[in-house]
Amino acid sequence: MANTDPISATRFEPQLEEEAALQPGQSAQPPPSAFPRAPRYVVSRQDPITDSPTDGTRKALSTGESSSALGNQGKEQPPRRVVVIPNLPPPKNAFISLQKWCGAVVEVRGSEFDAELRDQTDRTRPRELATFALDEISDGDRSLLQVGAVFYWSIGYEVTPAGQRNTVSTIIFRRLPAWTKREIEAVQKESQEIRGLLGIEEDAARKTSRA
Amino acid sequence: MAVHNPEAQVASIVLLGNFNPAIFHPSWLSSHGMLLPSTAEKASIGVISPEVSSFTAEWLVLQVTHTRFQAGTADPRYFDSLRDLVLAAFTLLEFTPTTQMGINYDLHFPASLDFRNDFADMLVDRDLWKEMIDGPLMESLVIIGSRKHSPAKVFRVIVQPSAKVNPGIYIGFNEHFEAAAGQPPSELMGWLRSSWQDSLDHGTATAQYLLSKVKS
Repeated sequence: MANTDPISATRFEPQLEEEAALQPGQSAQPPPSAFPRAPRYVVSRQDPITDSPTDGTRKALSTGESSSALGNQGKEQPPRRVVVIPNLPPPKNAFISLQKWCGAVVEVRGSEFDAELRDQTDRTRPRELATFALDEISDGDRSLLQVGAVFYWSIGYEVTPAGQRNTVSTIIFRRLPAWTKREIEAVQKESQEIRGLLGIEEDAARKTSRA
Repeated sequence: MAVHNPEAQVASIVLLGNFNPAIFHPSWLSSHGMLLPSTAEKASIGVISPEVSSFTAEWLVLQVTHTRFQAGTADPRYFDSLRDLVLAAFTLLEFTPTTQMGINYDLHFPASLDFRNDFADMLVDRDLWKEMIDGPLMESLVIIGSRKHSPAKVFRVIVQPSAKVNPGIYIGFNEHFEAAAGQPPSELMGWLRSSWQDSLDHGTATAQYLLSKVKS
């Protein structure tokens, strides 16, 4: 079968074979039934970040035994791949998250810094202030430490391939690119419009901001 | 309500549109501050070509073709970093046409065979099928609907046996967003910014709710 579908040609497949008709942009393959359909985007079944069984040996949830995937036998062979993407290695250590906060740096002094924390695990909890040692920050993130910087703090178990669990605390600073000229111009334009609406002169606004 | 702790979690963001795969190189992400230089240097590159780009860089798994962009991580510490990376990349690539986005969140819970059977029986009435099929088993269940207050078109839940945790239960979530055709990514990125945490939280809450309903 000629393969003109760029998705399958590059081994990017829907998660389940019967979901092929769900892929957007594949109008040549109408859904086989009138049931509502929704797309699910996943890469090749060999990809480590996908989860579902890929080889027709799916298990039934209600037993511990394997069984063949329904409808796999006697079907047309999948199209030949034009570009084969190699399998990518899975992560070495798994991480089981126990608690997570989003923090914003409020003060940096000496060998430590203060931050305001928002609990991401239970968002009903009030904000907290905490002090961290600079040593908690990885070398690559040190340059990002400044007042206002946002970071994510996670506590959990790191599980080695041997099953060993270690409790670890990890701080990761948010990495976003610098503002583009276009964005700065858009903000300036918006602020000018707001000043106009409020009847504030530019000079007066500058004096207020300096004060 | 007893809390069930997932043994493995995967989050990924998929965009459909028109992409230039060769741009997506670890050094490009690093040069724009989206990845640590040390992380980019240690990247394991599967292939980077005009047709497809595929690599892992510590926590990040990234694959791009002309029509599909997918970034994912199996490390929950980096879930927010994943969102930031996609936001940053498509802020820079502000004119890239993107039409659809999927936020995917997969949870794998350890469960005894008995619990797994009870869970399947709770979700599906197997007695109904026994009239017509010998030994009916639940292999996969897909439910679609929407999440309250979400701009997404569809919120989808998939339940299967876990392929990562044995014995275990896999509960996967996909929230699907659609923008007008040929639009720049700003609309989808706005939804990613506003919906990411809520989508993952809703997935976690839904999984906990379903698992808590099993009568032991």
